Amino acid sequence: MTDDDASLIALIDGKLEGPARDVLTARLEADAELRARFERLAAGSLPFAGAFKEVLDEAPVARMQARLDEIADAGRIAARSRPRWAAAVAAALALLVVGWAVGRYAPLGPGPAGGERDGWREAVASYVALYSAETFVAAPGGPEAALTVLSSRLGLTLNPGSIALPDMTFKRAFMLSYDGAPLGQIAYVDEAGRPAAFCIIHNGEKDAPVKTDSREGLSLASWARDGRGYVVAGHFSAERAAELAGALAARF
Amino acid sequence: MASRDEIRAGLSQDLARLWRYGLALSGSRDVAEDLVQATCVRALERAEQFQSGTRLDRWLFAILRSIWLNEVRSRRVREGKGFVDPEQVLFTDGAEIETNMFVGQVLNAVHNLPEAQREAVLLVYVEGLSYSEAADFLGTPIGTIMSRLAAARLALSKLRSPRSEPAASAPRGQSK
Repeated sequence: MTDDDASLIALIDGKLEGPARDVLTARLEADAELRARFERLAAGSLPFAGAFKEVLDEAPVARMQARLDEIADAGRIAARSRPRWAAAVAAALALLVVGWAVGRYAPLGPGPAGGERDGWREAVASYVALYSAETFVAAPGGPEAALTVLSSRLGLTLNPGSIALPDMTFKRAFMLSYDGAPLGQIAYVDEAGRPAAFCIIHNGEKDAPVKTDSREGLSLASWARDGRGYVVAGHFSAERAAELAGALAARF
Repeated sequence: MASRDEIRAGLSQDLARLWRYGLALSGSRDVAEDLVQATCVRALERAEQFQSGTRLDRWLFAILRSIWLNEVRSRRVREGKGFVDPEQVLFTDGAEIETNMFVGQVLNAVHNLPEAQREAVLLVYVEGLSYSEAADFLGTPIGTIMSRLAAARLALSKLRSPRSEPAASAPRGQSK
């Protein structure tokens, strides 16, 4: 490439403006060698856009669209069968500290980024992602009235009796949202003041038996029934998670 | 943060353009289709990484390019297939294109350029990126883009040269 090629191409493409254009045009008039170079480069201006437009018509769009639909739908089903929202719930729980124990309760364990100092940002993002317009609508009547809101949104009977758990004190109820589906979070503290949560999402999940898991340094037990997914999560053992899940699954 | 639905809609809208880019990179219709499929999977997996307000089509192109460079091309080279099969006539196996010899000639002339020049031509002259946008997209200095365009133009100028026989630049396999 000669030093002038870039300018010559810009001139050919109609992208050279102002004094630079005038200077180059004047040089072209005076310099036969430069003019020859210009002409060679200009001869490479083929009707690219028009020719390649025809290539679009050759694309196997219908087949690719069908494949895209399969991939997107499979992803959605996979997301439901291994409740990804549970990971967000775990992150939310790790940060319940934001709700009522600021300064008293340090976030636990290594974050999702394997103990990197930035892990908390991801956890906060996961948590905030669950907020919906309903989250901060104050329910007159306190936590018990908030349960009534959850009941109506989730189509279940939720009251202090039906959500009571052994050795846990019911503290609050929040209306959240995950992937457009209503997600209710019922928060507890145990006798040592450690937070735990029982969450319900109404997202059309397929029935699934209780399974335990651990995320964010928490134990989780999840199951699904009648189009609703359930998770109980907290700073307890997997056995305790399964036991609490069993108690709740008997009621819902 | 973008939703999967937003990414899915963007993919749906740009399938043909992504395929065309995959074809320009790989020179193979089948590889192009595989690249688009892998792009769909990757883009949906990473939906939350797309920044709303930026161009979704460019993000999808970048994903396809990354899959091509990091996964597909290297594998083809390892398997001895190279980037371009010299016996393969790539842009002309469709009946629509064969009806228009000049379009076929242009496409095959572009196809016969080295990959980097071919890609620069596609991005600037077909997809309409400015020189600096193309440089940003490819992560190269603008001078590199200009030099690829210059080399491409010089090579392609032969197609229009009055001394060259049209048949000399015509693609192989268009004899029927």
